[in-house]
Amino acid sequence: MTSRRRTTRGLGATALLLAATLLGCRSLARGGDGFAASLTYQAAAIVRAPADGTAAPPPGPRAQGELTVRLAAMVGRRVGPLVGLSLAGGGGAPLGASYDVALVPIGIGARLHRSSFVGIGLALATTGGSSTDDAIVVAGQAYAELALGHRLRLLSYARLGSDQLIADGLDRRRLEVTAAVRLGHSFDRFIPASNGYYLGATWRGQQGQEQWGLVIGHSLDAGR
Amino acid sequence: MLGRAPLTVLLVVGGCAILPRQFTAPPADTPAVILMTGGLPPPMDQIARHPWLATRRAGEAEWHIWEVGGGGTQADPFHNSPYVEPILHGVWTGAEAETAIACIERVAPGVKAHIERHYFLVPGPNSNTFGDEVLRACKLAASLPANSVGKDYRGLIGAGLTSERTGVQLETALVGVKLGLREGVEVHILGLTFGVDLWPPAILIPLGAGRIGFADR
Repeated sequence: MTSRRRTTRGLGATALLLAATLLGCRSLARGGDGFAASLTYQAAAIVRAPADGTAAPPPGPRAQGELTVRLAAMVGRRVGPLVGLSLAGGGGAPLGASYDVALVPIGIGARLHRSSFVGIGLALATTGGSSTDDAIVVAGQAYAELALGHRLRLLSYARLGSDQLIADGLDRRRLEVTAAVRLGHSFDRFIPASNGYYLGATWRGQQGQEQWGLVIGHSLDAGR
Repeated sequence: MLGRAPLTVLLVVGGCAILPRQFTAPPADTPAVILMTGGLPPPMDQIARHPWLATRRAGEAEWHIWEVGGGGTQADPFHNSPYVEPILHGVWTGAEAETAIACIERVAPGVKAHIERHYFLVPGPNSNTFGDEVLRACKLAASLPANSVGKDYRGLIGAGLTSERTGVQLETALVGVKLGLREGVEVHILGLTFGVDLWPPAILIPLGAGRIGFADR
């Protein structure tokens, strides 16, 4: 795909998200007062998949621990604008580190039931570390948080886009997916809310590398 | 390589603190100050804690509770509704407590009034900012746990000694850092604390008890 076509598609997707956000804001201004939001604290143990025989292994840690804090919120009883923020940092062996700071300034979400919601937004991120080059990421970021009764909740999160390498301006495709199952409690004291600890898996393809790992974390959510 | 990972990750997220202090009140014939925190009511119970100082002069039966959003007197200094899973962080008695009580009575009302006028949930000022400010003003050497969001709030930018007075910290409203002989190394991001405590040794995380390792001082 040429750079111009990618730019056109990116602008098109941004325009669609902006339009959806404006529609959501209009709905909110008409009196909608619902919302759904989730806050996630996550730890991950991640390993890099072995490089094929022809390629030299990249520098940096082969295995690392990573901590992530992720916030996503949408406004609206059914459909409305969505925003998000995530901060991640890691380190491992051999000695190395990684970081990822992402902001989702515009997006659209749909609240399903209580605090269950799905959403997609435009993510702007900076990422890098010992085994990957520093890059600016422009990506679509998707969230799906679905309650299965009062104790179980499915959490999933995905990012699809490209890394624009700061050093040489090259574009590299990125896809990462995280899915987990949470066991917890629901509350109705003030507004419908729930929290609990979760366990799941993550897979990432970024800058020509594959990484996978286990995730465990705590999340809380609320919505009405 | 991933064989040890689930256990490690479970410990990291579980936030366990071993050998916690027992809830034993000092004898009534001695002045005493107690520093406690409790988790916010569910669903915030694992990610945010609230501090209170309990003071009692020699011979008094009731404890005076100093906190943002509450206060008054009560017989039990360790439990403070609606806060859950209380943790005892410090006990001072004797002459040290007598001096501290006088200081708390002098300082705390003004700090509380200021924070209640300018309250902001994250990054602060909030109830944890109150706890840290009173600890520092009254030279009570203790630290609030890592998930006391707001404990390191110093306004847009600020620097000074830590509440344990064996280290220094530099804070902005978004990020900050603390270094100390007992405190170890802490990094603060949007009010969240990550780091390594040197004494008692523990990894600091903003979840659960706020630490993995030995329980708080």
